[in-house]
Amino acid sequence: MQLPPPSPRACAARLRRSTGLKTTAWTEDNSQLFEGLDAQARTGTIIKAFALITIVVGIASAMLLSIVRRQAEIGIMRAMGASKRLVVSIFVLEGTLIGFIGAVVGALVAWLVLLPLPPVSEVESGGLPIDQAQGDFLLAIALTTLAAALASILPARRAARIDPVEAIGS
Amino acid sequence: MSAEPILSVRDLTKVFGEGEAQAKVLKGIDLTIAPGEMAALLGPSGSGKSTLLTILGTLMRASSGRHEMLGVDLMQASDAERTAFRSRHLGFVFQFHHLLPDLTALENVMMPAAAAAGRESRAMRERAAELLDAVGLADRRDYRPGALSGGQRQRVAVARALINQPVLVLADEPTGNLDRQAADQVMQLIRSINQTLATSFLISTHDEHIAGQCPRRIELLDGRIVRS
Repeated sequence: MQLPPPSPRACAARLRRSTGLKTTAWTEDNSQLFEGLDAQARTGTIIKAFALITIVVGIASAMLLSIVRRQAEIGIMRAMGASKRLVVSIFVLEGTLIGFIGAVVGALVAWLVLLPLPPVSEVESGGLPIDQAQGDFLLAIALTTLAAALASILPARRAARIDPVEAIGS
Repeated sequence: MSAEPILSVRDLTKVFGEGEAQAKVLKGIDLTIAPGEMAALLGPSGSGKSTLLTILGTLMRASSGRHEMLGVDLMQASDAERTAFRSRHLGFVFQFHHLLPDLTALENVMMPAAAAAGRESRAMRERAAELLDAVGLADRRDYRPGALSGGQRQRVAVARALINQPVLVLADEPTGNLDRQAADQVMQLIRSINQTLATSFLISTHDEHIAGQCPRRIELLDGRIVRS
């Protein structure tokens, strides 16, 4: 089992206790660098969160547009006996598939873009420290698919509430 | 002794709107349909034909009265129960066919069965192919509606109405958008199905020529049945 590395402060304290020397954690000596790295990590998280929000809004608006355009077809299906539950299932499945296919295509493109870049361990000073190993491709596909499924629920429920008489008339 | 009716409505009314904008479209309809009956529903525009068919088809609730079919009280039934009932026992043919444009003729015919079961099956596909054969479109099963003539589309719509083996098909001006020859072909098909499968038909029309091909005529005027 691999244990997480101790924090810089804990390392400094342990050294101080065992040697009696004056020690300080590197994060205290280089607080500006540490804050910079921390801010960079937080920015990365914010960018990922916005990417997920964009996926949710994009899928939801695409689904709503599709539902408005296919209102008559949904009405015909309801008139022919399709239950509300079936209509919800169809549209959630459609949204999930769109999200999954988009995620797989996006991951593939990202993988190809990262292909020529060297591993992070071999990056020279001034180089871009990113490589395929940091991609978390499967996690990205899973999260995008999940976000797409959740984003489809409200539009799908709206589709199920379409009145067949009005829809056929339109 | 006459057979027990499959459909029975009593003192059925339908009111749209509220207050001064209120419009009473159906004003106390009494009607029964017997098994295997084929009836024409006649009346001028605005007489309530389409509203009556929509209510009988469980697509809309009446404002008051009794509405029973095959022993089921459809006034008291929930929306989900009415949807399941519609899927199992009723067929529809609309004036403008209302086929799904992205599906082939075979897939359109299968659609109500697939919608009822929540999935497709080989048996549904075979039944849909048989119905397309019966309406004379066996060689058009893979055509999309856009590639079919108006009469052919309406014959596909008739086949679709029959896929779940309904006891009653409600047809709202099924020939209203067709020329005389295509209209006669569709009516000949409906008569043949009525006689061979004993499926009941209620056909709304304002065309005397079409009504003349139905053994029974029901006349509607200003929301009331004036002859039945």
